[in-house]
Amino acid sequence: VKRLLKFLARLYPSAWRNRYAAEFEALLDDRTPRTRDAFDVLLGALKMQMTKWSFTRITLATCVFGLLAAIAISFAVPRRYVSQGVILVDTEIAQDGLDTILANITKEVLNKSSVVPIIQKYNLYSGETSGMSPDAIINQMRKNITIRPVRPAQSTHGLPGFVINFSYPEPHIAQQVDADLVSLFTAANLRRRIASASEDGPRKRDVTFLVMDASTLPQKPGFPKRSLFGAGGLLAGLAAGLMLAFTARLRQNKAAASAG
Amino acid sequence: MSDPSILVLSSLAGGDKHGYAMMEDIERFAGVRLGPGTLYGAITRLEERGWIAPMASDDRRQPYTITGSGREHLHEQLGGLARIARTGLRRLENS
Repeated sequence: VKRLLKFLARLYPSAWRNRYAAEFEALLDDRTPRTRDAFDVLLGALKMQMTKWSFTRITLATCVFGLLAAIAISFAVPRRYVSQGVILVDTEIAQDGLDTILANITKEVLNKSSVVPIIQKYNLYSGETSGMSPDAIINQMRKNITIRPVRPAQSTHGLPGFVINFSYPEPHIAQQVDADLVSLFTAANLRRRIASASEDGPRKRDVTFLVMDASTLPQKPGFPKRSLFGAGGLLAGLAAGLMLAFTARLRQNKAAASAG
Repeated sequence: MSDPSILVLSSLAGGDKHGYAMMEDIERFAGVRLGPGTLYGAITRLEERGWIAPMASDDRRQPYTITGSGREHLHEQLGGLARIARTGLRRLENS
């Protein structure tokens, strides 16, 4: 520990070392070292560096630290892959009526009786569900499903539609589950069409689902996005740097005022 | 009360000392074990502010002494703390 402490003492600014290094080493020689002294010396060196560094240098250092820390975290957190399927909707029903139909179908697809067989079929969340209740697992799966609307555009042949995303740590499982969800949506719509045909006639409430994009096999993880993590780390580093630099300047001014 | 600067000044108010002697003294009278980085951070600040000064020494161990302005500062700080302590204790007794 003593050798480590002497090594850490080299992290102090050179001007400080020129003035205090000999007596600081004498203190380390006199004292029985403890492991926590290493943190104390490291923290002391960092604080001393901060008081000697310029505003710009402190901010730059924290930005670099924030960036590196964020990238390191992005490698450490579990990856998630997102598979995506697109369904287009061909109908003459007005938007409000269509929204209601889609909401009902979505409710049916995300129903416990639809979700549980998928969880069992692919043994989903087996590694992360120890101690979780069945309802918590179902909610977890629902959280990993995202459904968002697609506006009519040239690429959709002028038809509205919606995207079904499923996010999971394994890309192949993400794709298979997403494909099952797309099938559940089309099957639910088919059942609804059969039921409404017998009630209202075949054309009145006709809604056709067209699978535009089959569920994709994700090549890159959807989470974490390293560029976003990096940008977040950089911004956090910048904010921390500005705060530290202002604090250091205030302390320097206070010290100068006290000495004066 | 664990402000390292006040602890160092209080230690030197009892006589000139080098770093290790200050640590031992502070641990004895305040029950606080200062780390080497914390102690020398305080020594650096106090010397920069002119509240302590190094003494001539042939040894690697550098003794320090409290200056007149250091005594004034310590007196002011401890006076403030004493007022707070008195008020707090009185309120505790009356509650």
